[in-house]
Amino acid sequence: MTLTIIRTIILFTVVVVSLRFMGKRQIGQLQPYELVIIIMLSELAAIPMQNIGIPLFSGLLPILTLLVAEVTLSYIALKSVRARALICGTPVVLIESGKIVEKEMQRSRYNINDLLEELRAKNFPSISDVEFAILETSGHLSVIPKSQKRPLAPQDLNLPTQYEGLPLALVIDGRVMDKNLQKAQLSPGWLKSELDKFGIKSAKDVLFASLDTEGKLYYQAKEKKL
Amino acid sequence: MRLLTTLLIIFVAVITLGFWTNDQLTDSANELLLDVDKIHEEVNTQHWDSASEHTEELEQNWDRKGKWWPALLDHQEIDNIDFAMAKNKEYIAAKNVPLAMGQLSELRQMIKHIPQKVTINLTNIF
Repeated sequence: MTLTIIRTIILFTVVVVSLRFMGKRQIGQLQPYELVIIIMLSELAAIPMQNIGIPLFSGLLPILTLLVAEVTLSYIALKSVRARALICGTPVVLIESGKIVEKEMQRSRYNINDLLEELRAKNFPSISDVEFAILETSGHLSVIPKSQKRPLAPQDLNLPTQYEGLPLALVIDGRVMDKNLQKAQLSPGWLKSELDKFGIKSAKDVLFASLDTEGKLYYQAKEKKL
Repeated sequence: MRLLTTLLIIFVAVITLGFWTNDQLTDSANELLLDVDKIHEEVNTQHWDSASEHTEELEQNWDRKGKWWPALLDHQEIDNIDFAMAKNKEYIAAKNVPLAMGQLSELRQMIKHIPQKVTINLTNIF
């Protein structure tokens, strides 16, 4: 039994490390070959986990091979446009200038119901509101609405806007993020004095604090333990 | 690029190690087969003392050479060789020619089968 636990921990670690090397992508965003690798990985790891009669290397070696294959294919796809089209496929335009491209729909085996379903899911109940719909290589449908139907932007009304950057997290779970403080060109002393103003003695009592681009400090103190 | 290079180096090292282990496996199996053939001959001529002595030697050789085999091969196959060796030892101790000969033939096939199973050839690939 202990043997199974040890083998499971080893295989789990190897699969997690392999997936980390493969990059950050969600299942829905995977390219076809990546999806195949993910499915195979889970199976390869599960068999030697359950069956202690199978050598651990029988599971580890195929995982390494798949990892090498995945990294090599992604590298080739990164460097060559032709190879990228061959490995990942190319996006298909299903609606062009407001018209359904029947030929492409047939070629992609994408029926009208699938198209309408995807459009509804993207808040376009009427196909007449759509200028372009592109079936991406990951299987996602990108929709570009007609200019009259797209959401209003401040630019349309000539409204001036201020720069909105990313708020910097200064304290997370009582720990001061020194790197972010340095990035904002602030010192721990400044943070302490700011927190003092709200009656908080130490950063350890703060659950989360962040600084937005306007210099406003947001904070939430930890709930006091009873 | 660094990740790809590192992985390719590891991969090439693993492939090289794979060829080396296949060679080692074949060598070890051939040595064990020589021992089995020797015992087979002695059982056939009913030289029980030397057969028994060589059986002990075969067991020691197996313990030494076969100890890393489970890392690469199905554990069940290794267990089967262990069981066959134990049976063979008893048949020789009992001086039973037909059973000892049969068991030695089975043992021979089991040992011979292992390097054959990992050899790179079309039969094994498909």
